[in-house]
Amino acid sequence: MLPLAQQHCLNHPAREAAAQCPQCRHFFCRECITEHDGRILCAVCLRQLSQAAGARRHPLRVLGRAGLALGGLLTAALFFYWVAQLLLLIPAAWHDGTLWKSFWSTVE
Amino acid sequence: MKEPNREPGRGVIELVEEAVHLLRGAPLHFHAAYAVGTLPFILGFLYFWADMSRGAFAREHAALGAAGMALFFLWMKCWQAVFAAALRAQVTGRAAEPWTVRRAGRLALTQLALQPSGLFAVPLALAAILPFAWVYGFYQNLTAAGGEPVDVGGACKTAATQAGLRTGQCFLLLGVLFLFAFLVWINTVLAMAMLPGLLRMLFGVDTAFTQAGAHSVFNTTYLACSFALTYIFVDPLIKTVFVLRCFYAQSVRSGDDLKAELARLRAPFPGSPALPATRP
Repeated sequence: MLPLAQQHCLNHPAREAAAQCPQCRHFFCRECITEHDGRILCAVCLRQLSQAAGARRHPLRVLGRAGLALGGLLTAALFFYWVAQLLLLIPAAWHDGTLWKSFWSTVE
Repeated sequence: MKEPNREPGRGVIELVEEAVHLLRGAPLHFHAAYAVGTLPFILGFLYFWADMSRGAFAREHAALGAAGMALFFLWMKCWQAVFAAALRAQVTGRAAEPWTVRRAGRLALTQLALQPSGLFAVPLALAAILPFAWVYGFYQNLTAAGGEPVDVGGACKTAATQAGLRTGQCFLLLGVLFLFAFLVWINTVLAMAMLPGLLRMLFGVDTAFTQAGAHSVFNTTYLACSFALTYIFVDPLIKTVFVLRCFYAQSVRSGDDLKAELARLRAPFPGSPALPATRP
């Protein structure tokens, strides 16, 4: 295969190629390519990608999103429930500081 | 002479300085967005703490309290992401994107789905020490990228990629920020211990703290209050630092830092810079 410098645009044979589309491997001029999601793509491949993304949308997707949100909520609730259990386990003398009061009075 | 081997990009102190300037110059409504989210969580958490440590029937309503705290936590995370998005717009020098239902929903879903795992992952990473910078950075990046037009998977991928960049700098950055947080905590504890005494001395106001004596500082709710206040004081700075860190990491590819600098130079008067000038 000829190097990029010697290639011509697939759509405009009179123009020199500026990039090679990583999807279809064809060469294109500056006008026929675009950047999408950090990649240089030709217009046809970009259209195919966006159509595929659109086709992937499923009615169950809403349920999936709700599940994600509910899962997050439950995870956070579980964490705080464990914090509550931990606080309940700690003796009252620690919580109100009387443990230290008796300790200091013993030292004095 | 051989040049010292320096990593490209902003240094730690430079980043913190820039974050302080950005935070100081931020409009009041940015801080209001942060407060709207964080204050209910802090107040709720202190109530929850006091209730669980002293309440006679705490065990019976622990689950309900935990569910309430989870809601407060997610509410806080969403608003912190709004705060980060506003800062991000200011840094890039572009007009802030309007908050549509779709954008707000995407932000809420990203935060709801991913942030709660941090409640477990960050303490575990802290125990293991080595992955701490990456894990902590990942969750901060999730907040910083909250307003970006990406789905949950995209946000996760972006946050993970950026957390993996310059991990050494992240460790150093967290060291500096946590040292600062520790000093703020010491100051907060001292101020909280001295304030009741000063109130009695200057105004003759007697409080529960002056009546309880010096031992009241050993109360766990008292300590929780000092940690909560320290969080309110320091966390906006941490969020801003990570917003800048993400911005500079993405600028390597997008050139947004150069565009922001150009916008700053084109600004009609020096009072409207997109970026605070920290470099000579």
